[in-house]
Amino acid sequence: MSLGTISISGPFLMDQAIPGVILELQRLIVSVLNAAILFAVAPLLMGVVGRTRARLLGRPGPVFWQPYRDLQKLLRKTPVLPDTATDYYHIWPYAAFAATATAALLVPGFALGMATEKISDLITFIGLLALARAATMLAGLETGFGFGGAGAGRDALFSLFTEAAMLLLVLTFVLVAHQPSIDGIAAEFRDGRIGVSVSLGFALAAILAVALTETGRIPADNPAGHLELGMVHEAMLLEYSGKYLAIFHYTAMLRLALWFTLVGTIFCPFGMGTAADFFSWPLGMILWFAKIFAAAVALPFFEVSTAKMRVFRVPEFLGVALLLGLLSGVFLFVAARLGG
Amino acid sequence: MIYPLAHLLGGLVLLCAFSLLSQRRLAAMISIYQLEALILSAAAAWQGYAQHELSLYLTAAITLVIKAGIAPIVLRRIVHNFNLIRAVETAMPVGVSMILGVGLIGVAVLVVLPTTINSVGLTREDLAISLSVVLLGLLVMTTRRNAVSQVIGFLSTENGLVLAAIGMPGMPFVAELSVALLVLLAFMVVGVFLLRIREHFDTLDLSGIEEIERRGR
Amino acid sequence: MNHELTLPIGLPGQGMHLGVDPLSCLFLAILAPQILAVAVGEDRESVLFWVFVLGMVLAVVAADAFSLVFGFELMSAASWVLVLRGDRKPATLYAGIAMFSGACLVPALFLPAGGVAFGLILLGAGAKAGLAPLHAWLPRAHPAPPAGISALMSGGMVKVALYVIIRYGFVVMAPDVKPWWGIALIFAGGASVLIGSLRAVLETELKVVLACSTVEHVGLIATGLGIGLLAKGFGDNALAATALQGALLLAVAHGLFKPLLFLGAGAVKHATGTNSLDWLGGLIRGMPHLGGLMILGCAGMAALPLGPGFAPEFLLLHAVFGAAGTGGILGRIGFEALLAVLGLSAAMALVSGLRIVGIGFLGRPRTLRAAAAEEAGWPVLAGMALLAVLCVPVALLPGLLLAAMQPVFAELVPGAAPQPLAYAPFPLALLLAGFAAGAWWFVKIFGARGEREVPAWQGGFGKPPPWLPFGNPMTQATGTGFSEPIARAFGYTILGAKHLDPGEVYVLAPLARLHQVLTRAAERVRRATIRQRLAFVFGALVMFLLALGLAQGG
Repeated sequence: MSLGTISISGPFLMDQAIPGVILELQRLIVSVLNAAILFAVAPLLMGVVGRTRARLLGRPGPVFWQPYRDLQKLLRKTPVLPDTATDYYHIWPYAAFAATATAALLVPGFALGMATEKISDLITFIGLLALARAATMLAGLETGFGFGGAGAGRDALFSLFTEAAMLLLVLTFVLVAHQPSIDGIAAEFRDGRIGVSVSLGFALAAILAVALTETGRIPADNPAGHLELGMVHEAMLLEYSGKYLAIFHYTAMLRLALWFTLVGTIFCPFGMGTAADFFSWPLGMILWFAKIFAAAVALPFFEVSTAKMRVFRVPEFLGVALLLGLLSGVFLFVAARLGG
Repeated sequence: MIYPLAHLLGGLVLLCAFSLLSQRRLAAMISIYQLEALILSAAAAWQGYAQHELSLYLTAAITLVIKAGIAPIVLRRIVHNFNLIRAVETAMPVGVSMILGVGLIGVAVLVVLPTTINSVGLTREDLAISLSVVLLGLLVMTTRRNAVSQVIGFLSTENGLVLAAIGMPGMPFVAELSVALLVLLAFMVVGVFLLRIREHFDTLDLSGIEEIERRGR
Repeated sequence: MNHELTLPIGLPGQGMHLGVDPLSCLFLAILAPQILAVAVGEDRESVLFWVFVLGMVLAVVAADAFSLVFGFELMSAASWVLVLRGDRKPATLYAGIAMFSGACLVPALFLPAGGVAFGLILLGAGAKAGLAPLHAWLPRAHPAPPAGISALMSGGMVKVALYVIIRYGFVVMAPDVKPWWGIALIFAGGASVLIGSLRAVLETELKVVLACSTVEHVGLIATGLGIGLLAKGFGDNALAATALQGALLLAVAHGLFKPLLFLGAGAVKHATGTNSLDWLGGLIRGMPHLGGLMILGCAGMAALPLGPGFAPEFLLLHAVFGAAGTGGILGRIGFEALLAVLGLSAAMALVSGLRIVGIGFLGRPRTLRAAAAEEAGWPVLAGMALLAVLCVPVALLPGLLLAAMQPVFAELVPGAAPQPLAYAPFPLALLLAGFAAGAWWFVKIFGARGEREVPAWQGGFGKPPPWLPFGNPMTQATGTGFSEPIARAFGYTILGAKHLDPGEVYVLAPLARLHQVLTRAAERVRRATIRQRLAFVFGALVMFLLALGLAQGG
């Protein structure tokens, strides 16, 4: 049984305990710093994605910090409350944000060994994202208008495949790294105990498909399009305005940054620092920024080169991800030289 | 480092063969086939570097020129000339054929593992991948109706054979070359056939021919 | 902790032996809150209800096979009469299943321990628990009686059936365990999980949704038990302990949130006259307390983190990870496929939980009855609140609970070392609350003050007529509409175009045909003329004499 990882110890011996206390403090600082940077950078990432995309489409595009301005504008506007809203209307945006933010605490960005190391199990992470998704879907059903229900239904369909595919990927990671925590998997990769293999290639392809769907990007959903028939994520938020819409938009940005960080941390943890070693932090931070901004530039390239799929084609796309997750496990068993 | 990278490249070839199954449009299938050939050529070059074998570089070059260069161009021209750009396959639901594909990969794994228990551990994975690619190519050939996509399936099958050949140290170069020539020959024959079919029936959909065959009996 | 008590009634000369050990204590603890809640909420005057309760308790505390069967059958009979009071047709089906399970159990308990006995127990108790392929009766029979009985059947009776499997698989027949026992449990469990969760997404009647979700949860528990049995057989005690932790914790959690939901469904039916999600909507305005409690129960049913259903799911998934990491390649691939099934159905459980809240309680009312719904009476609310309060420790302190359940694991898998739980909901809940409060504070300081209420945008539909105060119900997604994408992409593949349960198509329908054939034969006998009957008797006599002669001659 474990109730928490931030242990509050009783009276201790000074000479032995002080390094331990400093270490705990460092881990805590890394966690807080990690979260603070992620929270601060998330809109900027969305700005980079938006501007690169506009450039690729031949438009000048908004400035990089446009998302901050948008959020500020939304915050200043008086929210408009639909008359059919129930008392829970105000709760969903906060619930979606808080769940995503808690999930963000579990993913190390620049240094391993954060304070949340022991509870950063990938299944908990998946569960927290599911909680955020549940809150968003309830927000769509909340005021009882047609598009919200349709969007929530489609999101429900996508979630079946993403969740199953993610679980299969977690199995691959657990079997490769012999532990289920994000921190531990990244550490195994960083220290070179895991070589490249077929399974990891499949796993990378599958996790990218899952990440594209979970963050509501093309080909599953179009974040820029406001065509009612094709919307998924956007459709659930149509009745929200003002500060509540700002929270939902910010949550979407945070989710994008979170998935960039997760894929970067698991598949490219090289050069990441350690919480205990203060001097390894700057390099890790530079590499982290390089990773997420490279991803933010690469995403629009992929998006402008593909078309958005019809809603009922998306299960095929995600079905490929699910089967790739299955194959990654199968080839792991092959590589383990089983079967005689 | 040699084997993991070789396996990764083999896995990417398998990934391409797998995604051939999930495509409906001919243009996308040709692009994926081209990518598959590119990766195959990279795999051959890597094996040549690893085994210090000059002939494997030659295989890589042949693959690059013929399969990743000429074949897709010709296929694209066929597609363009016959106005098949918007042609959509309707033979089998994509989901079903993908599940069948995973089943075939499982069969390949189950066949290869016990029969090669005594061979060098690292070539087993290679063999399993190659056999899977071959089987997936055959699956594409059997589940598609359009003649061009059947050709692509055939080429993908052949890629699987080459993948197996380059992974085996000591495979004579002549064998590979003959396989490649065979493919070229088959390719030309099929191309001519397509032209004739098109001239006679005004379509490349084989269901028309099947219909005639049935009536003939 | 082995206390034995011998009652002077029962088998002549033997009496009835009652006794408790940690396992039966655990199941008594699972039964007690729901019995109390149902007694507070409904049905405490009915004698049959107490007979039903007595049967369940007797089956759990029995220390000999006779008392176990006696309790089990008492439970079956009493629940059959209770189902009969609700609806006649499902009651007949239920009686058939109950007789089938009795017919399997009675010989099994008196056979020598071994494969045949366990197979019969699996058939008998599995049919009673609603394990696939014998699950099709459950979504029909469980919703039929009044809500309190449904709650107890879904939350308690299936647990008693699972208790029989655990008791015989892990304790009584422990020395004779074979690998196929566990594999059979895993297969049955996996199939139940998939079918139950899919049907829970597609059904529209609230109580049927809950019953289908029970099939899913029973499947999950059975999967955990199967992995535990398999791992114990192979001597992997740590894995067996993890799987059992998941299964038993799920039994505890399910025994809390499912009766809560059934009681709530009963209150909804009482207030609106219907249980169909397509006729409800917006109930949370008229029934705020009931709505809040239902949201809590649905969070458990949906296995959301920080809810009571997540920790068991977490443990079960880790057990599958562990099982996929050992053994031969076929087994590993099988466990990987099982994991895919569990992932799909976890997402489907989430969707079905959300659907109850989102379609039934949020949104706009679809009928005037739903618009005029009034808060449930205090007994029901008190019963539900009791269960909800007990959900909180399961949700937030599963580690403590598992530590308290340690004697049970020690009894089932001797020598199992408890693994520390890597899921810590309490700190996570604190963090979550902190973030929500922080966001609230930030928005309060920097955001605009005040709100303006305006008519909702009806998605471009025209203004509704004045006699529809909540807008046109046709313009919002129904329960069917909400799950239509899943039905289209997924449901037709597994359930076929008409969404028929395979358990009905392949098990119940052939049985019904057989029944018809037999009935026709019986009818022909009944309608026979006197001459035919005489001929029949005469023929039988001749055959008998012939047989006698042949037997003596040989």
